[in-house]
Amino acid sequence: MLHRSRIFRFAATVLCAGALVFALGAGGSQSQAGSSHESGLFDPLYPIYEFIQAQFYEPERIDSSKALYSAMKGIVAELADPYSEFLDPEEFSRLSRTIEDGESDVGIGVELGIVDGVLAVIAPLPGSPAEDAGVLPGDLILAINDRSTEFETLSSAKERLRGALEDPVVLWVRHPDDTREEITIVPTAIAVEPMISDVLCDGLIGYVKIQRFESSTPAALDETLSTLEVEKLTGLVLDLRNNPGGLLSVAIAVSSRFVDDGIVSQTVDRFSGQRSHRSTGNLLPNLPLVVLVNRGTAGASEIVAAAIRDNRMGILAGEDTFGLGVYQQLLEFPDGSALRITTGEYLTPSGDPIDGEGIAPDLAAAEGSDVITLAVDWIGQHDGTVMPLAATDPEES
Amino acid sequence: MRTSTSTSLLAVWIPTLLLVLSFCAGGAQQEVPGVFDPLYQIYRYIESYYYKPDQITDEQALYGALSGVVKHLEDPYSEFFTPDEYESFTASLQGEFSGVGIEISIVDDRLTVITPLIGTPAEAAGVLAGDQILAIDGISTEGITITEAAVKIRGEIGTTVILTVRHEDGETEDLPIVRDTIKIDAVDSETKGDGTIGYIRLSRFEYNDTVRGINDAFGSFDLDELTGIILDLRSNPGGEMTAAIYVANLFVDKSDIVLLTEDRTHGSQRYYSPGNRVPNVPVAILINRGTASASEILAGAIRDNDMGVLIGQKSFGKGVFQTVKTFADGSAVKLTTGEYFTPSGRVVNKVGLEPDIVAGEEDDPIELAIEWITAHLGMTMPFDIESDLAP
Repeated sequence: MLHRSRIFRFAATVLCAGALVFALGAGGSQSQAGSSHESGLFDPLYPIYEFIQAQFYEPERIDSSKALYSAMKGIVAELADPYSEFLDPEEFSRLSRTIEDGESDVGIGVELGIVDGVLAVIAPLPGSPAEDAGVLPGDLILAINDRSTEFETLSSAKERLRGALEDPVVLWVRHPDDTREEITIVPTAIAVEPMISDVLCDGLIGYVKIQRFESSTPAALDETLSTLEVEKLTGLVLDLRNNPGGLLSVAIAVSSRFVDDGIVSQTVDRFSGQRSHRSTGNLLPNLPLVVLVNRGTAGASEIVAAAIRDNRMGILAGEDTFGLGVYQQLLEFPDGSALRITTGEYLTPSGDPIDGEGIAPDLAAAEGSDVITLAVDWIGQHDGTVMPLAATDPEES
Repeated sequence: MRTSTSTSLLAVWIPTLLLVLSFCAGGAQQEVPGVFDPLYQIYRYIESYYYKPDQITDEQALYGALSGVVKHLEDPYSEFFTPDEYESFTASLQGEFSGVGIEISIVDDRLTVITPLIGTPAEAAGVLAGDQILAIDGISTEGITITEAAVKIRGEIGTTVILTVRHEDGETEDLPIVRDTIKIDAVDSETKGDGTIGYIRLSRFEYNDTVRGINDAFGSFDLDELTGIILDLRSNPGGEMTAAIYVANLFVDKSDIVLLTEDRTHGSQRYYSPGNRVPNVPVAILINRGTASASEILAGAIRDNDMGVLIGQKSFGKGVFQTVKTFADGSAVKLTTGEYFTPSGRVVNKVGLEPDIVAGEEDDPIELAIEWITAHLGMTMPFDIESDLAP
């Protein structure tokens, strides 16, 4: 998961530190006049490069900048981490433009990840062409437009799926039940409703669906909750199904709306070691709360779900979550290239890993069954109870 | 160790043409000092902050970088080998690898078994010629390339791979196959027709194996009784150039050109035959889409000198050759260093050689060869093949 505002803030920090520690001379092809070159580990590159310069049959194809960037990609590829990559100046400027334009502007409407080395759909966006065409959370995309996605980076796959308006994209997909299907989708302009609210049970139970955790989400949530008149409700349903995640800071802010006091998340990285993030304090009555989760609940959504559950402010209903609990940092270089690597992991408040594990719901609901009814029933059984739940409270119905 | 019979074909087909020069890297005389310096900063950053620091070693970083440098050329035949990869590569040149024993190709956009090799785990497991491989270890082969498939199917001896195959009768089944050492002979021979036609199957080109094999083959024929020779180069992906030239010299008359090459080190070069040692009987060369590189050199050398006719389907069209440079630690670089042309100067790269007699789906190229030889009994090569074929 990429935290955009955090990344650029952090990138600035690293660049300052970087200037002190390293001489960032990623200018590419010019020799370093004056300063002596480093020698050691990468010495063998020079004789190989000379061999190529002397004997490659089409010498006009040799390019020292390209060779350097390719070598950098080669190092990063050894990490075998789908979220780590080196971006040359052209790739990075395209990525930056995409982030500015809004990633879901034109596309088929899927949030992507890598599962066991294979390109996977975390979740299709609601109402998107992908969802309409039958793409499911957990689908593995084996080929795009007849070309295998094996060994492909996430950026490259996203690029290919973005396509052009009206040009169909053909996916060869393996569903979670192991059936294979060829799905053709026409990309359109995607507009995602960031938040949906409703009331259930004759206005007694509030329902809020959050689609992504963006910087505008906390304010939008506050507004939604005040519109729902939370003080008059007997319970709340927070729907995080098919929410692929977003910003960590926003996850903490949203968790703080529901958790009185306590740790909402832990992070582990080599900059700061293991750190706890506490709730900033909630302003709502502690109503019985059910968080709906499924296979498409990932990243920041899993943080919020774990925060609520581990602090006993509510329960989780639905399916096991995705299991995406790592974050990346981005380092920009003066020549316009950039390096993004996974630097840390999220843990639940109780210190359990999320990545590769996912979170199991308290109330399991098989695919297709009406999890909202389950949620409403549970709230009914806990009518009048003030969260947090007592330690001995049986959570299964 | 299992050997294959006269109908054997190289199980994993990767076009190769090597001019092998091994020399170890000397001291680093840098023409462009410092070009790769930025790698140190990147690597230091990764070492310091990547969340799983044990996931990359210095050696991996170096090999990753070296591989990247070669990849930037975007040449499918140039690559960097780690010591392990180089070992596998030389083993495959010698026709040896650990796998299941099938020849694969892409037919109608699907990964297909051309044939299982005789006496191999694949044959024992029930793989049949013409089977489509729908999945390897459960993962669909949709969109896969032959090289990617080869990598997945090969593996350590004793390990199992599951191939989901669809037979030509439509039946689909999952076949678990235990990998073993597969060794392909370079040369196999027998007699055909009434016993006076010598049939030689060349599967790959490796100097020692090929020289020994072809001499054994001719030793097994009664040269006085020979009325014709069939040289089968179908699905032969190539190998060492020196081996192909050796065989070409056996068939081409003295002082005729067998090959033209061009590279930056030597410029243009011509290779002349020192004189042939095979009687000038009618020769038919079998080629198909899998005939590549060194095989195309041999076929082109014989054909352009009118010493034999080409029967089958258009060949692959790989007319570039690579040079291998090895290093002290056992790693190596294979680099495309030049292009070759047939004796009359025809381009082979991306073009291929056209057969004089086309073999259709229903034809057996060997039968066509026997027919052609029989129709030319008693004639001495060379003769103008083109006008001979004209209606």
